[in-house]
Amino acid sequence: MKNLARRIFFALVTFVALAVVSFIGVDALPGDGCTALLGRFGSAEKVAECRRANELDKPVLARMGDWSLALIKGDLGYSIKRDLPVADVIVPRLRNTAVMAVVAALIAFPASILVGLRLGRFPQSRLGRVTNQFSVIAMTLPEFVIATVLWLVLSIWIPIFPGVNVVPSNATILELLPNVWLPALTLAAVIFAHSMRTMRASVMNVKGMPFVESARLRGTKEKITVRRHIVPAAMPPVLNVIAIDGSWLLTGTFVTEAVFNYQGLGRLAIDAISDRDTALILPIILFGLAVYLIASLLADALVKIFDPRQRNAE
Amino acid sequence: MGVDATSEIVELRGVEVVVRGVREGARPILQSVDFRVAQGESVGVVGGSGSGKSTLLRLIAGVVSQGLHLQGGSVSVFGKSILESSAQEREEMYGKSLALVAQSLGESMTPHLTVLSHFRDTVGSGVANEEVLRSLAEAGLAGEKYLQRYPHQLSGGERQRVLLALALIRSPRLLLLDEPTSALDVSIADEVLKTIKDLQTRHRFALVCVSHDLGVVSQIADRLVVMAHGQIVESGKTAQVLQRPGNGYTQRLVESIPKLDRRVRQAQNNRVETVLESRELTIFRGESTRAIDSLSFEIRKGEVVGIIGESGSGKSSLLSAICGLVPIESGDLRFRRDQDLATTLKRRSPDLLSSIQMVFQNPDDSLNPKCSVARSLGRYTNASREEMVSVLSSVGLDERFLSRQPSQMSGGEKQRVALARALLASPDLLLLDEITSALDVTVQAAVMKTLSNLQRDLGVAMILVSHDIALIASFVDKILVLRNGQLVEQGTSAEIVESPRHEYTRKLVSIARQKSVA
Repeated sequence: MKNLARRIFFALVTFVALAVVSFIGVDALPGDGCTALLGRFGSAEKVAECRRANELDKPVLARMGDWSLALIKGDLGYSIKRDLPVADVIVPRLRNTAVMAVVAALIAFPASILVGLRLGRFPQSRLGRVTNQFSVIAMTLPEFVIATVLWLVLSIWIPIFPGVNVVPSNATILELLPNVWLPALTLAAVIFAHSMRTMRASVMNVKGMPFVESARLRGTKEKITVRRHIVPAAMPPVLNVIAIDGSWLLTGTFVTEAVFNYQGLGRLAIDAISDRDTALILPIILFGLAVYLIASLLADALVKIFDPRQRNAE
Repeated sequence: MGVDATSEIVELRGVEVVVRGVREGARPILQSVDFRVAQGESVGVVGGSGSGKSTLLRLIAGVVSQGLHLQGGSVSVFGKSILESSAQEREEMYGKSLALVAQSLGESMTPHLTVLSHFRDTVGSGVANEEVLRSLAEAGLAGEKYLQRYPHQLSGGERQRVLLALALIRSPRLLLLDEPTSALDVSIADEVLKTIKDLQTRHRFALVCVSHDLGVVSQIADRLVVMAHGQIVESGKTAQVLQRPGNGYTQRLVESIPKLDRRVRQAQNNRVETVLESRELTIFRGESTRAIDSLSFEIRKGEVVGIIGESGSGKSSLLSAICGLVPIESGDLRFRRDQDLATTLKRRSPDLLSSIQMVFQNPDDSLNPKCSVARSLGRYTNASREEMVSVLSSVGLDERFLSRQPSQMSGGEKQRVALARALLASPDLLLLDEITSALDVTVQAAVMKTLSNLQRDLGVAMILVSHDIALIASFVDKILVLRNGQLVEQGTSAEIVESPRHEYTRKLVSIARQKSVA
C-alpha cells in the first residue's frame, strides 16, 4: 500500500507541474478572453476595459493563483466569449464524448481480447492472417479515412446510421444514441486493431513458455490451459494498451468528432482554439492529463491482479 | 527388472530428427536412435549440450520442438505411435500414462497460480485437499502452508518437488525427467534425487532421466544410455558402463566426474607475503540482510583458496566486495597490507583495479557478443598482438581465435577467452566465480586443468568459488566453507576432505564422495 500511496503522490505532483506549464503556455498564446469576445475590431480601450473588468490585467502568477484556488473549490472558470461558466459548456460535451467512448470501448475491447487470443493461438490459420492484415491497415489509416469509408458504407450505400449529427450538444442520451454509432465504430476500429494485435503477440509469446507446455504435459485440459494459464499471463501488456487507448477515447477524438460533427469534447477543443477561448482550453488540457494519469494508475493496479509477484512487491 | 520384449512401454526405432529447412548433409539432431524402456525400468540418458538428449526425451512425450522435424523412424509409446495421435488422445495420455517434468529452472510452474491451483487444473477442480497434501508429502513437502504459495515463494528444490507431485498424482506408468537437479544446490539436489528414487521404488513407474551429469543419473538409473552428437554411443547396465566404459567419449565422461581428492602439492612455507586480508568483514545484501557476517581470512601470495557455498551463502557477495562492485558494511578488507578495499570501483586507482581481476560464471554475459576476441582482449589493456597470442596459448587457445566472434566459439572456449582477458592485466589476485558451472562436464575438467597449469606457471593468488567441493578440492590449498554468510569451517584441502569437523561440511563431503564412486 505504501507503494500505491507513493504512486498517487507522484501522479499528483506530475499533474500540478504540468498544470503550471499548461497555464503559462496557454497564457503565452496571443489573445485572451477579451480579444476573443471583442474580436479583431475591438478598440484598444475596449479591450483594456474588458481586461480590467475580468481581472485579466493582473500578473500571470496572480491569475494562476486565483484560477487554482477557484479550481480547488470546483469552479472551472468563466468563458467571457460564450458568456457562460466553463463547467456549463464542458459538462454536456464531456458526457457526449463519454457516451461515445463507452460504446467504442464495449465494441472494441472484449472483441479484441477474444480475437487476439484466437489469432495468437492459431497465427497461421487463413482467417487469422487475413484479420491480422486488416488490423494493420486499420492501425495505419488516418481516422478520417476510416470515418469516410464507414460513412460511405453504413450511411450512404446502406443507410443504417445518420451521417451527420444535427442534435444539439445538450440533447438527451436517447436522442444522441443513433448518432453515436458511426464515430464510435471509427474509434473502435482503431483501438480494436491496437489491442487485438497486442493480445495476439502476447498470447504467441506466452503459449511458447515452459509453464504452458509443462501444464499440457501434466494432462491439463486444453480449455483450462488456455483460460487459466495462458490468458492471465498474456493480459498485462494488453491492459497497458487498453489504458492508453481508453484515455485516447476520452481525449483524442478531435478528428472523428469533427468529421461527424459530433458535439463532444474534441469538437469543443477545436472550437475553443479557433476562437481563442483560452478559458476553455486549459480545463480541457487538464482533463486529458488527469485521464492519462488515472488510467496508468489503474492499469498498474490491474496488472497486480494477474501477477502475484508484483502484488508481493508492495 | 528383466527386460522382457512384451513389457516394453517405449520403443524408438531408427529415429532421425533434423533441423527444418537445413540443406542435406547438415548434422542431424538425432541420428538412427534406437531406444527402449521396459515396464518399471529406470533409464538414465547422459550427454553434453547438443547431444540430443532433451530432444529424445521430448520425443517420447510426443513433442517435437519448434524448428525440428522427424525425418525417419518410429516412436511408439504404450504400443501407440504417439506422434500421430490426436490432441485429445494426448490429453488423455498425459498425466495418466506418462508425465514429463521439464528442467527445474523455475519456469515450469505458472507464475500467477498457487500450488493448489496447479493441482486443481491438473486433476480437476474436485480434487480433495487431502489427496493433494498426501501427494505433496510423498514428494517431501509436508504441511498445508504450501497449498496457497505462489511459485516465486518456493525455493528451487520445493518447486521441483511440487512438479514431481503434480506429475505423479495420477499415477502415470512412465515418468520423464529433464535435468531434475541442474538448477539446484548440491545438498538439495541430493535430497531430491533420493526422493525420486523413493517414489520410484514405491510406485514402480518406469523412469527416463536426462542429465549432463553422470553422477546424477547413475544414482537413480538401472541402465545408462550415453549420447553424443545425436547418437547413442553406449548403453548398458549402470555399474558396467561406469566400470568398463567401452566408448572413448564415455571414458572421458567417467573420468571427468570430479574425484574427491585432497591436494597433493605441499603447501609451501615461503609464502609469507599477504595478498588479501579480511577481518570481521560484514557485507549487506539490500537494506539489512547480512550476505557476509564478520568473516576473517587471509590469502598469501600464490595461494589458491576455494570457497564452497550454496546459493545464498554469500560467496558471490564476497567476490563482488573484493573487486569493488558492492560496498563493505563493516570490518576490514586489505589488499597487499596497505590498500583498503572499503572503496568501490570508482574510487580505486587504475593500478589496484588491474591487480584484482574477476572471471564471471557465464561467458555469454561477460563477453561482448559483437566484439572479436582480439577486440575483447585489447580494448582496455592495449596489449600487442604478441602478448595476446601468448596469453591465449597459456589458456589453451591459438592465434586463430583472435578473429573469432563469441558466437563462433563453444562455451568452454569463451570462458578461456574471459580468463585470458583477466590474465592480460597481470593480476596479483584472480577471482573465479563458478567459472565452470555453465560448461559440460568434459569441458569443465579441461578448464580446471588449464587453471592448474596457469597457477603453476604464474603463481598468481586465486579465489575459486564453487558449489562443488569435489571439483576444486584437488586444486586448492585452502578451503573456506560458507553457509548463510557465515564461515562454517576453514582448513587445508586435506583437512576438509579427510576430517571435516562441521556437520554441514561432512554432508557436502559425503555427497561428493557418493558421486565420485558412483
